[in-house]
Amino acid sequence: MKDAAAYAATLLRLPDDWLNNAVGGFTPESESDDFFLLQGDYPRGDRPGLKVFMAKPEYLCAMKLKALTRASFEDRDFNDLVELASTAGIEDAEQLMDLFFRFYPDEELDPVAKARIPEAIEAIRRRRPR
Amino acid sequence: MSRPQSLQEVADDAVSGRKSFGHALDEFLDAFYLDHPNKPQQQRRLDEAPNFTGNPLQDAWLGAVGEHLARRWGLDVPTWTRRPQHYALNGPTFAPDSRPLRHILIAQSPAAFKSRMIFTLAEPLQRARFPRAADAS
Repeated sequence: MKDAAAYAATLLRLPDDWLNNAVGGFTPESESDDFFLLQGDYPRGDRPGLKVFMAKPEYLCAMKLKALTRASFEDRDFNDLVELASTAGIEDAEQLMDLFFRFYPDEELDPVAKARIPEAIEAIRRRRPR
Repeated sequence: MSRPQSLQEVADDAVSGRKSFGHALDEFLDAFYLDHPNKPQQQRRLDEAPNFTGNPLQDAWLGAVGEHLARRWGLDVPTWTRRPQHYALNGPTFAPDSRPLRHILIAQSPAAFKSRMIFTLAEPLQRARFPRAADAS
């Protein structure tokens, strides 16, 4: 995989570290196949090749909730959370908490993240078409 | 598009409109943390004085980031961070701008931010590439 990433970097003139594997800090101890969607199969069929999986919006949403403990200039994690939660059909605080614990059953939600849930729900509701 | 390699490049990218200030800053932080634990290389990334963006909030952030990263990772605080333009905010800014968190931000904000009237969390500037606690000496 590392060789393939390095080859792509050379070919496409990308930074050496273009493939970010640091997201591991936000993933749970074990990831179920249910957390992902098959995005592409190259080549298709039974021949060996590359299968590309994409994290489901619900999983990304749970990760963004976990990431709310970090502050950034534009509060992008919060804005991403609102967008992903809207996509995932979240409507209230209880659903958002349930979603978090579905992916992180053995973890506590940080108090900073917990304190921001009401404003996230408010922002989700504001996005809804009237 | 390449990642900003210094705070000077962050300011230049923001002023030119190549990237938003926040985006440029996040990419710079990735580059900075990837250098860990190479302190001379991290110091080089901070040393060059950035041009002023003309936006008091962005200029205050630049000063705070330069000073905070130096203190947090055991480097020399660059003298440019003490320029008056990095202390020119007229009122407090909360990052994140969350009312329920304000009391936490006021209590926790590191000195480099608080002295510039920016109130943020105790460990700001975290990224997925932030060195793990065990490595962060």
